[in-house]
Amino acid sequence: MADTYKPMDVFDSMTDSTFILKPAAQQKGVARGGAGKGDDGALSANGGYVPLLQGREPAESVVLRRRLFEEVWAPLEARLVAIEMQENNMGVREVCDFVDSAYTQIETKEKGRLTQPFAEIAAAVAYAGVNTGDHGKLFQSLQSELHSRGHHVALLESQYCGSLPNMNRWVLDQIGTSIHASAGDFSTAHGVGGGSRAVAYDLSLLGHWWADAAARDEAGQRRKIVVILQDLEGFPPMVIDDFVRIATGYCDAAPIVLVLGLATSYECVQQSLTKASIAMLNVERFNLQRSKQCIDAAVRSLLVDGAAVLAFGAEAYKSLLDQFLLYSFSIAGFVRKLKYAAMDFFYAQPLSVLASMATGAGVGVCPIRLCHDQAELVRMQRSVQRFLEHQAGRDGGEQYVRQALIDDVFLQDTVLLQMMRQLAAYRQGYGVGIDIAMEIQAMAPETTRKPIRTLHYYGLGQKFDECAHWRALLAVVRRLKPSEMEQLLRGLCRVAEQREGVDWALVSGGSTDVPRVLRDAAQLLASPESQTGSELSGLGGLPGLGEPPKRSRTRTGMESLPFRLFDSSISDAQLCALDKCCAAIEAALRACLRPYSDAPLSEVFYYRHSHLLDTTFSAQPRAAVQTALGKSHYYIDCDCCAAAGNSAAASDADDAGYGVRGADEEDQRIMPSMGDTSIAYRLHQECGRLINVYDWYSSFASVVESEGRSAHGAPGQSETQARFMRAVEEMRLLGFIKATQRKTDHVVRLTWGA
Amino acid sequence: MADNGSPSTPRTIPRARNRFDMGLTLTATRRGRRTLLTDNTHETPSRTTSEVTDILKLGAAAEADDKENSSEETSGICSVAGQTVYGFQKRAARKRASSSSRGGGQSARGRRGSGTPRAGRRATIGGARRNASGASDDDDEEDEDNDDDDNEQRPKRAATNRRPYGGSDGSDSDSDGGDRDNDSALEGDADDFADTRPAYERYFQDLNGSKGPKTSDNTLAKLPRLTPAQTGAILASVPTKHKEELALLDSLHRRQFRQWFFEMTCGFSIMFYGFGSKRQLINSFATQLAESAPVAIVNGYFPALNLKQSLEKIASEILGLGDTTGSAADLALLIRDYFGTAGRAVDTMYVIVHNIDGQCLRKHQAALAALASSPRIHLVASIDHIEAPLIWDASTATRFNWAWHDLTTFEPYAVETSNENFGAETKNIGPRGVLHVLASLTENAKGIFRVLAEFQVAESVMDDTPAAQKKAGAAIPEMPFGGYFAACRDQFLVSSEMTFRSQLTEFRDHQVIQSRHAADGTEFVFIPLDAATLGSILEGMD
Repeated sequence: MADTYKPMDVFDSMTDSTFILKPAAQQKGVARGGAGKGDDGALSANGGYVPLLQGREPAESVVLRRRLFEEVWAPLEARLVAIEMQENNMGVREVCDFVDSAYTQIETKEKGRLTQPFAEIAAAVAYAGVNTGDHGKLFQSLQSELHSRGHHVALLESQYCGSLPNMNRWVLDQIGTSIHASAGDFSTAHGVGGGSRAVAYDLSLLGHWWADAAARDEAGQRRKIVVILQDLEGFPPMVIDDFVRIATGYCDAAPIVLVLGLATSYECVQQSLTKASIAMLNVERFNLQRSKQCIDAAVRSLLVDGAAVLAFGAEAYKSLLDQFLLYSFSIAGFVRKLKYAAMDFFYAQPLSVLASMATGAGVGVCPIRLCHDQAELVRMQRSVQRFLEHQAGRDGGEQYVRQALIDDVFLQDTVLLQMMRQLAAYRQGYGVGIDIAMEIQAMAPETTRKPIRTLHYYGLGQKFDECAHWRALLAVVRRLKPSEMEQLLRGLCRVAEQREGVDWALVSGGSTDVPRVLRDAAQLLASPESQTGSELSGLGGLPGLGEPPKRSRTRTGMESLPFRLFDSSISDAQLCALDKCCAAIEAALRACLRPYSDAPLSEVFYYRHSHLLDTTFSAQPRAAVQTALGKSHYYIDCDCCAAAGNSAAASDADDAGYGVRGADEEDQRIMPSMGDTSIAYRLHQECGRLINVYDWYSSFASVVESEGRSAHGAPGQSETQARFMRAVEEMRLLGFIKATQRKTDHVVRLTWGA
Repeated sequence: MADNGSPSTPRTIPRARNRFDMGLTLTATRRGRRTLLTDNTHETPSRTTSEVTDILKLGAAAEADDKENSSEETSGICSVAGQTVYGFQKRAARKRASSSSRGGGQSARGRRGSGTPRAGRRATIGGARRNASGASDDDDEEDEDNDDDDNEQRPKRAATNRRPYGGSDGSDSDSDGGDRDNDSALEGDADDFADTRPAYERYFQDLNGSKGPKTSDNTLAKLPRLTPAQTGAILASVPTKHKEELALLDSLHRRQFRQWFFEMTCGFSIMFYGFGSKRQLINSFATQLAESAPVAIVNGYFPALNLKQSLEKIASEILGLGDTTGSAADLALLIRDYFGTAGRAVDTMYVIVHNIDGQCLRKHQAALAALASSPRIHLVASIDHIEAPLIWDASTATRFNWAWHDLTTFEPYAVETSNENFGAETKNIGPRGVLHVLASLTENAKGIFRVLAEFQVAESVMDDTPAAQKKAGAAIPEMPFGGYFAACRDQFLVSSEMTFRSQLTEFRDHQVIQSRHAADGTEFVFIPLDAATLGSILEGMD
């Protein structure tokens, strides 16, 4: 084969599989900086950002977008890391405390037990959840926390510990490094981590060193040697078994503590270890899974409180949540999607420069002048049009709108500023609305409570009147006693007022000043007698209120005024006040939780490309290949296959009178104009498990021979054979078929379905 | 033709299941265009006869149906298990047309599809043949498949196809016997596209069928052998289909280069998937990347790829680290740690892995993930196997941090598949390989080979069974080990069995000679090549 093989290009070779390309500068021996710094390269110019709007976007706008992404994402990422760290630390601290008091606990707390003929190893079984992708961070923070408490820690991953010698080596290497850093005598005294002689990695080294160190260092008595197995499920059970037995032998000499990280369940320990080695472990269980709390904190901080300039529309937010809830509870996956959305926003949205107006505390001025295309794009947004229509109804509105439509400067300096303020006010009001809902939930029974991530989804995805959860919360409010209502209103007033700088005149068009409404309701409840008679009679339409002395206590009033069923001692004035409080709370919620599509510029700042997120992070390569082969026109919108298929379908239907066929059947036509692999793929779809290659070839030939009607003439036998062979090889490479020994010149079909 | 084409009385066939009970077979399309009934228990010597038989059986089947359905007999509608099937008379005419064409007649060619490209639509491989054990299934859509199980699985050629079914010319089919004629008559026009049962049902039907699927005994021996060089030359001259559309697709992909670059600088690794060779496009992306930072291109499809060597090459040529030792995982950690050190000479590196799902890379994903986890090493990879994402567990996938991009190119996998040798199983090294091995052996060893080769050629000449009818593995005559040794000793090629075995080991290592143990423990040896090839090798040796 070697004599006939001709490389296709410079990156193809019969003997070499790896090729190195060096930049011209480095070839000359000059070290260069980062790739992003180069300005000469076509790709790296401006960090890969390209002018949008068909290339008409001004250069300063492109630069601004690039700068904005860095300015916006870096603090967000830092905040996410901080949130994750904070949540992790809660569990980590428990494990560290356990390690601190490991052997003293066994000795002191369990007095009265029989002396075992062998030493027990203190072991913490840490359940970390199924989000294995996040375990690295979790256990690293555990490692660093233990380090900071003076322990010697080895963090092991199963991929490097396939055998006992490897495991011992990793333990000694890591302990050796930490000892080397602290004492500086381990490797030199015992030959680990350096020297020309091959080292026998044996735990006895550890025992000897510990005896030396303990004799020298009083503090060493309190220190432990902690071995963390990050993913217990991945370790071969025999290896852990042997390690535990060996470690037991040195337990007297050196206090070894095991931390077993689990992703599945605590039963895994019983299943993977033998009874003998489990008996040598003194196990305590810990739960380190905090990913849901972490996500809740992230959603509150970034999306509800509006720390992120970019918000998520309902669809995109659902995609974000689904990735988390339906796949793996992975925080890393959540952050990844968030980051990609931010990247897409600043890379592909020409109006993302407007984010510069929203950074910081208030709304500022955009540092650059928008070009005409960008201004037009702003005017094209539906929410902007609605805003302008609303303005037109005011005094002098027509002039305002006319100027906004024709004057780019006016649009940017005045209209955009107003809209951005309104958007900011809406988002702050929305945050208050979610806080109010959380407060109400605190008074509600357990089953009614939802985490903030779900509340946010309801707030985004559903209108107030259509959402069952908001109705349920209002029903909870209606069931409250006066004292409870008082408590709730106090909480709500606090929530509404703790947010500073909310311009309530802009939230919900100024119709509801939420803090004032809540304050008034609280005051009314405090002194219900202050209500006038007309106010009381104003509620006469409600069942029962017309005749205060003989209040009906039927179930008919349950939905509207249920509190009267529970407490017969309260007066009518109190009843009326309670009812008004309910109305006030509902009005406040309604004002805050308006749909985001009402806010101006929501199309820009509420990220909508959920499909992009799905295809980028939940790609379906198999479906893509099957579509390319089975329905090529989705990729190549060619005339030949489609037109021929349609005409054939029409004529077939006409002359045969079979009736019109469905579109899907037309998809199944095998046209000679299709790609060779496409033809072979469609033919193989009709087969059973075994495919006779020769017969496959015959069918293939019968299809491609129709090509003869074109100018090239019918392909010859050799050409057909060569093309068929290539198609079959490609199908084998793609994994649709595989070779088999069961019958001569047969292949096995591997995929079923579309 | 004329007789058969005349309209006969339409029949109603209400329950396909009943006909199964009668030992009859039904072919019915779900699209409701045609039905075909025949009795597989009788062999029909000629096509015309079989047509008549079909019609008769059809009538018999109808009469045997439930009385309650008899009122529908004149309705002209064939209702199969609750489904209405129109116009099976047309189906019969079509079948005749196709059968005439099969018999070598050219007249049928124009009956359907001549002049229209829909001809290809009829071309099937006959894959929808399935076992009849599930004949009692309620789903009427399965009837077509259930009844087909007794037929052999083989291509049903296009209605316009002049080439006889199951062969490249008319003479082939004659040697296959009468039953094949019958089968092909049945299958010639059946519409297998019509099978829209859920895929899992078809899978389990196939899997649990009592007899298993049957396919024809045709082998590729009927086709002339093409060398890789010939194939390459032919394929190079074949015009590309949809050239303009593919060029447009390519240009659209190329527009995204800067976006990919941006994503990589943001910490994502790029993963390309989709049909078509992505090699050229990615290489051209890599060439542009190389303007700013070193790039390592690893061809994952390379059959002899050694990741350890690749990483050593990266370490030495890019990072300037000499004398690296350890496994691939160690090297990956070494390189990753290098990019974590301050004051390093190389700030950023790009690693391109074509076919990260390649055979040699599948067990090294953890090492590659360790590389990708460094923020200064940017990984670009492609996959082609449709189940490739299964090679990563959750933590490995997190470390890779993939951003997936559909890079469907429709380009042929010329380089990726160049290392495969279609037609010859991987265990066989082919005649050229055998000659190559023999050239480096001693005369005695050559003699040992010649003994076995001549034996196989002689046996093949004695055996006049057509190759197509032989079962797999039985096509090659084998020689008992004892007899082989005796023959070689007689010719003074070897003196002891130990020498003989060591010579055989040489051949076995090169897969020139293979052996198998029979049920009674006797060892048989054979050269996995057919007699014609062996003959040419023997001539070449002279």
